[in-house]
Amino acid sequence: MARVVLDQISKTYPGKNGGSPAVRNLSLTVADGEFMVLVGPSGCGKSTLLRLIAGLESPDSGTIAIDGRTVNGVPPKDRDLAMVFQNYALYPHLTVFENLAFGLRLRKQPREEIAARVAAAAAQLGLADVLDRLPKSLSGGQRQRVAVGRAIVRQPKVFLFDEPLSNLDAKLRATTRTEIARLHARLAATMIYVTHDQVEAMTMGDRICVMKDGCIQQVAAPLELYEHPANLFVAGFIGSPPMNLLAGTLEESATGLDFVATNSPHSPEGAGSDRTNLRIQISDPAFAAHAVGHAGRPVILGLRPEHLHDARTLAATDPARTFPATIEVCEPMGAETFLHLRAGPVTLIARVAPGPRHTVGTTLPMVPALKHAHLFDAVTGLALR
Amino acid sequence: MKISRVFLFAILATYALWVVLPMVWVASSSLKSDQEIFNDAFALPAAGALHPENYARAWHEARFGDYFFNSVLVTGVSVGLITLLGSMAAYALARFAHPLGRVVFGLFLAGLMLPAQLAMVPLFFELRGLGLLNSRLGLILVYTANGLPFAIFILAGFFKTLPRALHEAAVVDGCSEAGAFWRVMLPLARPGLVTVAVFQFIGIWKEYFFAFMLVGGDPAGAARTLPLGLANLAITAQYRSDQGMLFAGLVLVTLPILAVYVALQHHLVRGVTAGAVKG
Repeated sequence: MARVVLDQISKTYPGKNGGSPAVRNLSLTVADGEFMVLVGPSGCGKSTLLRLIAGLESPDSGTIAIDGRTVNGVPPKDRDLAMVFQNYALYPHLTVFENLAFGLRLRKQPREEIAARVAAAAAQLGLADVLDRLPKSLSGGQRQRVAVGRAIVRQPKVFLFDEPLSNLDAKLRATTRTEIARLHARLAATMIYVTHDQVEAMTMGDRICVMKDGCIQQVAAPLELYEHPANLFVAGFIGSPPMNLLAGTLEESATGLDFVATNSPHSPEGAGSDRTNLRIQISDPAFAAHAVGHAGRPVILGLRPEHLHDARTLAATDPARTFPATIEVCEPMGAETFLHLRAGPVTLIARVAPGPRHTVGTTLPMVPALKHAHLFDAVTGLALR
Repeated sequence: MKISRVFLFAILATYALWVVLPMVWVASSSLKSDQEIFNDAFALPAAGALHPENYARAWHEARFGDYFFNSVLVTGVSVGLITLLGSMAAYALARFAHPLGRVVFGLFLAGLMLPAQLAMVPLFFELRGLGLLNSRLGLILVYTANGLPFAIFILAGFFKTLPRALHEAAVVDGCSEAGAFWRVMLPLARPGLVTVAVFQFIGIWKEYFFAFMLVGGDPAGAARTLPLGLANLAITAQYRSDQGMLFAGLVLVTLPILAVYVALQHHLVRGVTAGAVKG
């Protein structure tokens, strides 16, 4: 059982003006055997958090417990964890075999045991042929596998990964991602994985911890995070292309409730011929039910690209909800096409089925699937539910 | 071949001859008799009439055997202590932020800038007070103290270039601070260590001034090093006119330096961190 419990951890790096806090009063529990991904933009504190767990940094306040034991002040070597570094940090003066055996030798394992475990790891990772080579003669992918191998031969309680794929090219990154996920399934060990890549986060994590400015924004399973983002930051960070976020107000109208978009700060002045406001009638009963309490307040409407449909492709649409949008950029991806649209003052991205009829400049009738729309408080950024 | 390359090679060849010819001349003279040297100083020794007994005389009569042993001992222990203590001090200064770290580093650098000869007089009395005058231990201590600033200056720079992640990987893998130093950081600093060791070896092996002041006063000369012995030989050889032995002594002093340089020169230029991190 290797549960990792962080309780009200704070860490400030010394610097000018007292330094800026890297982690603020953060609490997080990683369950035994869980694959937890820490994700966020650079400088959000995710790497600091990993280094705190590893014992490479010590927290200013709060406690860290691994496997029920408080490890504040315990040196990294006595925490029984292994770490895979972004630049691999292979020992350049040692062969691949010695790199893999390093941790076992330090733990005074018998010679045969070391040989057996290194051989097993090397076979698993396809390194059997390069055991007597030095790291400098290996390819990037091989070095990365040696770094992973060095962690798995130790059979530690907790694996820590610090952006281990960011130095690989796109193709290798995809295959290695799968390998690590497979590794987790087989070892059933607790893994904490830091990345800034939301695709890695979504595909690998049992749960994802989204961080910003040293604080946790939301901790949830990937799809939960995708479908129910707790705030604007998570909504904008998770998902590619990102969620459309429209600033506006909810107004009472004759038919019920309308969302009226105000000028988006991102749209260039005078762009688009239609300067009238985008008005979307809220007719979806479920959405209207939770929107009605917020009438008159400034809100942000969040709509994923796949929830914005071309009305002509739907069997039946409510014309009241349909609005015209002009194609500004068309990005065919093969299985799908991303349309960058302008509707009144706002720009939107829609994920639609591929087709030959998407010509830049044409105007399409678009329908939002309000059943899947999100509403956020424009001031606090929190999801309104 | 371009003109500029021809020019470059001409300069290098001239320089090489400039350096090599005197050495060849000394080596050839060491195999000649005094008669031959005075007849024609630049002639090669006659093939059938070499005089290797010059070496035997230098080794036994001029006590170069004793001096050689002293030099090996003093230089070996001093270089060993300088690299050991220097690497440990440099690692601590390069890796760990301490409020006094800069001050300590500055003091070591000051030691590099001030000529040690300035401290000769107090040093002499200090060693006399400690009863270390005319002893090999006294000389070793002075050489070690004198060599540390250079070693720390070079090695601190070297340790700073080693990726921090390597240290962290070692610590997470199960090393203590000391273990990470011995098992990972020190082996990686090998080019720096070799640089320091070679420079210190050459400097100490041929050092005359300290040796003369600190162990030269003993008429028995029990702690004399090779440079002292060579000077002694040069003075006495004037009167005995044994130039062959003097040249043999010169070769004995020079050979170890050449040998060390040839053996270790590829370390001086090689960097072993290639492959440590991507790029």
